[in-house]
Amino acid sequence: MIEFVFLVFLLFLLCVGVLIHKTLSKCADVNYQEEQVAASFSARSHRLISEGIRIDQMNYSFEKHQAYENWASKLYEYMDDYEQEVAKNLPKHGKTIAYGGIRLAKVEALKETN
Amino acid sequence: MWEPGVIFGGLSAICVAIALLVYIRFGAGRSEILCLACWLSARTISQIAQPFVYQACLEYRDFSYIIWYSTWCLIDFAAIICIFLLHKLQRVEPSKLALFVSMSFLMSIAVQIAGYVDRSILETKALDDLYRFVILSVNFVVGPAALIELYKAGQIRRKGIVR
Repeated sequence: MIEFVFLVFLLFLLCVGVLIHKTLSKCADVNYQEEQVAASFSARSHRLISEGIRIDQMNYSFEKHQAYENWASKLYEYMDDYEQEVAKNLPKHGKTIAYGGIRLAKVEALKETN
Repeated sequence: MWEPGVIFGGLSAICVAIALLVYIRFGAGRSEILCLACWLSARTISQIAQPFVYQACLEYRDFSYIIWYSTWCLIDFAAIICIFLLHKLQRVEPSKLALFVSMSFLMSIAVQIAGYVDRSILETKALDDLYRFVILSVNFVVGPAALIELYKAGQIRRKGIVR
């Protein structure tokens, strides 16, 4: 019986340790957060790159112009989402007060409303 | 005492101590200093406590597994809390190395729990080798990681005129 009680105790320690580690990683600096978000956005960025190459190889035509415009708007959308995601993950009371034109206090307010 | 464990553990501790001294000498990387100091303290405490814990296990044979595994888990857990609290108190943003060290302590706790379940509850001793080598790896890996991070950060500066 006492073995199981200690097992529960050790598992509790592990869970609290994971929580503390997650809290610590949320306080990490901008470079770390950028790398994390870039990794999670990699599928989307790869799609954008392949689409860009396909458009580049098209013959000059109205369709190419149209496709390029669509691609550019997707690119800007991607950049906005990326910056927003990094800003969301940045610490509340860290050294960084704004990122990518986003005030971090505003992001905190958005988080609370959601 | 398992000799490879002592040798690799000592080597890793030397690597960490060198990295720590270089960081302190150049006054850069506060997060790295905090996490490496925590790691070094935790490992030193473990080394000092090891013979006493072993003696306690021999004296209280019925609770030997509980004493052995819970001691190391508690030391690792205390180290994670120390890293977290020191970063909070000093208002330092954790670096990659700090997160790596914290993760290594978590890994260590997970392996200790696996070893405890295997030995005390299942009584199979199937994970003995895994426990031995994974704990050795987790202890050893922090030393080289600290030196690589030091090199990458360009903390080792050349003095004088370099061609």
